[in-house]
Amino acid sequence: MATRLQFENSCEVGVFSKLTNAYCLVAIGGSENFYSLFEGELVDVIPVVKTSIGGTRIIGRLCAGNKNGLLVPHTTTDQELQHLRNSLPDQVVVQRIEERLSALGNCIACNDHVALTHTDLDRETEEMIADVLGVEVFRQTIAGNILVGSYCAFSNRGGLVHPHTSIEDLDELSTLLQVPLVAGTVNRGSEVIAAGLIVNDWTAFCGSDTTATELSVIESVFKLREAQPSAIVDEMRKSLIDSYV
Amino acid sequence: MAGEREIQPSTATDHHRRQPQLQQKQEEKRHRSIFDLPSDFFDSCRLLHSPSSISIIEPFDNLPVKTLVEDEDEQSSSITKNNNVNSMQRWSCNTCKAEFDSLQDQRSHFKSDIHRFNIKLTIAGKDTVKEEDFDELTSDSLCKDYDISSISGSEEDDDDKESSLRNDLHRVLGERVRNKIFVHLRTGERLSVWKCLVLDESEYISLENDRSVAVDDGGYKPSLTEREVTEKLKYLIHEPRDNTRLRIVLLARGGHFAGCVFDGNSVVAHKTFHRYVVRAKAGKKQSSKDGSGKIAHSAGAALRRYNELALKKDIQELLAAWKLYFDASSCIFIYAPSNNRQLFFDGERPYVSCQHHAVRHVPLTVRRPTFKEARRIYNLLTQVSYEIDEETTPNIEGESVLSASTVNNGCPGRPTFKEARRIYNLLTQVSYEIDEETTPNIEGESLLSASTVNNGCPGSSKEDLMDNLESRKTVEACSGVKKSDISSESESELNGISTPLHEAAKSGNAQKVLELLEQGLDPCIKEERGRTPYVLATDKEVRNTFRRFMASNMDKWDWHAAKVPSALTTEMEESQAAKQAEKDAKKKARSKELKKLRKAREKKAQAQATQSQNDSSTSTLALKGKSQSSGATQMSKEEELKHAQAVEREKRAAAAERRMAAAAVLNCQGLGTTAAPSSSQIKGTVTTDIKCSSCNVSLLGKVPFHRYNYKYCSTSCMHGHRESLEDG
Repeated sequence: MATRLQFENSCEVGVFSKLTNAYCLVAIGGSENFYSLFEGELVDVIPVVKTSIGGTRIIGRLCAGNKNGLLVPHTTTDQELQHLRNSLPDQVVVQRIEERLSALGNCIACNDHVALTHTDLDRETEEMIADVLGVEVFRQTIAGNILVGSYCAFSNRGGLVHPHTSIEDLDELSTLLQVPLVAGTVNRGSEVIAAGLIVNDWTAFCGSDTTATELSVIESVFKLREAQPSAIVDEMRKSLIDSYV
Repeated sequence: MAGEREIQPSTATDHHRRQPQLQQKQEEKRHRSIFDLPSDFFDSCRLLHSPSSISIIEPFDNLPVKTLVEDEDEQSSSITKNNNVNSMQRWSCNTCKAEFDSLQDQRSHFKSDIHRFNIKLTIAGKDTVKEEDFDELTSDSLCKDYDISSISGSEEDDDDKESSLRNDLHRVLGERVRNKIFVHLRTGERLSVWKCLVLDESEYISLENDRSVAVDDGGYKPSLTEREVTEKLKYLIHEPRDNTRLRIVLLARGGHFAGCVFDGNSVVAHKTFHRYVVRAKAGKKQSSKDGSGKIAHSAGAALRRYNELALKKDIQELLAAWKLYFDASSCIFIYAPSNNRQLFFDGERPYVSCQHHAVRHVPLTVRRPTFKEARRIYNLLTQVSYEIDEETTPNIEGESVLSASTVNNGCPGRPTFKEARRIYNLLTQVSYEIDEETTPNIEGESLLSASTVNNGCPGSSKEDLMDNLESRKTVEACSGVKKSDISSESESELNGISTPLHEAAKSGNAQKVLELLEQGLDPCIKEERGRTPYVLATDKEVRNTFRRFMASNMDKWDWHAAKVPSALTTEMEESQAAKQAEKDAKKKARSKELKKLRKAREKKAQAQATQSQNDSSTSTLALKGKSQSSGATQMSKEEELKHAQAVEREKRAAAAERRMAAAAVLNCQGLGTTAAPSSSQIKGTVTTDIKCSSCNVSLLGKVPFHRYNYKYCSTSCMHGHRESLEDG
């Protein structure tokens, strides 16, 4: 299920949070409501960690990660790094990388198997991405945009890309990434997908401006609805199935 | 890294296999790797001291690139047609307009350099290149032709690259002769090989026909004879390619390290490191900043310090891991400027050792150390480049080598690409014009190589290029120079080397400039950056020298081309001097006037000051005195002053008298009946208060006895007083 929410009256929830299959990062200083929405959805499953990166709250744009690891930019302070290492599960590798392009979230889009990156990233960074996140790294653009991390969001089950992506590019990307992709928008027509939407394999959070249509596209491409019925069946089994003893 | 591994270094043999048949013959003459040469290549060759002409450099060949680009345009258009037909093909790359057989292929393509490069081209709005072309082109020419700063995501600045390219050219021009070995083949061709490929830095070639150099260097370096050098060259191309004669390139700079092991033309192993050690914006490594005294304690500084150590550790671990390669290497090329040296050297001793202990420095400009750069450097170092080779007649006479190449532009040979290039090179070379007959002051052992260009017009003269190699700084130009007849189109293309005239103009030596101009050096010659000597002149006197010379030799040179704005005739100078003198006089007069004015003002200020002093002194006087003094304006100042002083004295005396009288009255009152003579000593104090209540004696200096409010001088007084009070 996709949840609609706001961070201090901003719908760009992807800027202030980071969601993967193994952890969720939330910016410090948001209203408790923002944090508790994540808690409500994710608690018992993955840790929800309040943090800042380099003293800023735009953590979603500064870091990149998946279930295997988390890359943070060189602006991250030692305390923040320590806090992240302490809070995240042990199998998640937290790595600070020295890359000129420090908004890693804007430059890297990844799921647990593949990553698209900015073409200007250093070779060393590329190696680091491959090693830490355990992904294959492809340098690509999304509809002519070099900031791949901003203009697409994908999980292991599906992905949403910039609305101007051509059919050919869409085909090419989905064969490359091996996930079905759809061109679409979030937040009532915003093309900055990753800023308005964070997603993992079973849940998604999007800005409160997201329309019902957008939401239904998101839920269908990320296959969030499929997870739901089984849960309902599991939970409601007792009441649904009569038992004769 | 994976992407880089896929692209093997393109060898020259690959290169001309792909060339069209027509060009094939010429392509063989292009630069190629020394390891691709036939084994009898260096047979019966002999070494030369210098190329016949200095300015023939062809680091990049533009012409073949252009043809390739055209080819690629055609191909790409055909592919787009194909794409339109079957755009639903699954494994494709729309950016590079390529299709693949499998997902594996597609994925590896998306990791490759060509894909990245094409993406950059697309973003820059340019056409993409084909894979075949990409392999052939070096990154240099690609970056140059397509205006892309670099293929990998390196942080190299564009202007930085520009300057480095230019530097490359400069250095190649300047140091080529020093760092290269020139070989004259049996076939009459001449080519050059980098010296560091075959020789150690300490080794030195001694040519029989070059005595002066041997004398200059004192002969303490181990010198090799010509035969030994040719033996080395021959051995080089006979080397077995079985990983026993490896060559290793190690580059380190600014936190970047690239190491690459080569066997012949193939890469055996490579590794690059990068650590964040250079201070952003401020530049320089943290350690050099720390070395300058001020030690920063920021988190970043600590990070960089740590990274420097970590980089050194990384490199040393790698060097240790590569010990096998080092043991099998025949030489190691190192580039580590300034304090990067400590990454490879422990003091003077390098951390690595190879069988011949041949650690050599890279004589080229090295850009950011990457794998690609290491490969480029290696390819350049192992390259055998052809010098201009046709119709040159090396003419060795006694101890001087005079070689002249003659080109007749009027009836050029076959209009081939090579011919065009040769003519272009000749036209672009800058020549000193020296009449052959008037070179008596060139020493016998100095080397004169001259190339003569005959432009085909009947009145054209010879242009001789003189280059005294060993005594570069003291180029002795010759007099008796003929007028230049370089045609205008060649002039527009002139670019090349700086002349002594440039040097003189730059250094502001007007005397020398005049001398050189009189000797007939061409002021139109542009140096490497296209500036004429006049433009270089920093001093006004030097510029005036040019202009004066222009006035006297109006038609000798094309002064417009020399960028000298106007002539400076003697009349002009005189009139200018007159103007200047007039100006000076005016200035002087004005300054005088100003001085006068200032003096007057000062005087006035002084007068005012004394006036105010007087006022202040008189202000203490009574109103009467004031009126008196003001009334006596006709009196002189001194009289006035005296009068004032006298009045004041009187006043003070009166005041003193008054005071004394008042004191006397007070005394009389205070002492009252006792009239003790000692009371005058304690006059003016609070004595009236402290007195014995019974005997009225002063209690000053005593501890009084208290009873109620009374004070007594003694107990008897106290008793007496009490009794009298009780009685009363």
